[in-house]
Amino acid sequence: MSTITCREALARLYEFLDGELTGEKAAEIRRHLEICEACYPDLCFGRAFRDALRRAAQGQAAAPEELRKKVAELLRSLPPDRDDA
Amino acid sequence: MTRADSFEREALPHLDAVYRFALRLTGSAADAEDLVQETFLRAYRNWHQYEPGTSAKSWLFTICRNTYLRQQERGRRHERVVSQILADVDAAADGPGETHVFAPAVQADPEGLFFNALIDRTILEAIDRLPQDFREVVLLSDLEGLPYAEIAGVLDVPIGTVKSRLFRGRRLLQKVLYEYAVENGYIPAREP
Repeated sequence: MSTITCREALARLYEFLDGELTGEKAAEIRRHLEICEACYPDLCFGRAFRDALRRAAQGQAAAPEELRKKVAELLRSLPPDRDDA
Repeated sequence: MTRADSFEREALPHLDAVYRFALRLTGSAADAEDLVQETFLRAYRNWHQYEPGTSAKSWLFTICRNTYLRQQERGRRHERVVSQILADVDAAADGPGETHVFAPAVQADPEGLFFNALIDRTILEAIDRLPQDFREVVLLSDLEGLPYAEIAGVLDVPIGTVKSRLFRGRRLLQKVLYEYAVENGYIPAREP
């Protein structure tokens, strides 16, 4: 039996999806979101949104090879163990 | 182990992540490349301040963002104003209450199926257009997967601020993507 309100479950939807909640709190929120007819669409929608962003993140370009070389050269050009402190 | 060795082992593997972050912060490949070089230069010089065992990626993001902000001092003030206006408009549009997802979109497509129809570039371009305060949290959380505590460290704000910016940034992004989906016929337009 869910002991939390829709308001609390929805307010913590992202914390739940982002893995910021643990243990009993996470389980409680999940139970509510999964069985509550009013809240369930928000759970599905939030998941679909997050998945789309994760997928888009995978599609991002890696650093150009030229930049990788430039950074490596830049670091080599510095004195090896200098401390600016 | 020399400083160069430990830097190469701990920091350099995050070059791609820092580049992606810089690209989405600046919106230009040329500016992102300059920013990445400056970031790694500063990081190397300040490597003694890095605490081993903590997240080098978050530490590099912090330096990258601070460097960017210094470069953008003037533009930044303008963006803050814009971002506040957008936040107010956004909050007013949904009315009071704790709406976390963009309500009209959930009503039209409760399972969020339209997100699957959007190509990656559309999503990334929509993120690029978010006001900076919101763009940063979305980049760090949704694209880079950082925990809230690390995001708070990178941005130097309380965790509560991270949460509220994520709320609003995501809702704004959902609104933009929803409108794009309606315009392009992925979801039928709602009757007024």
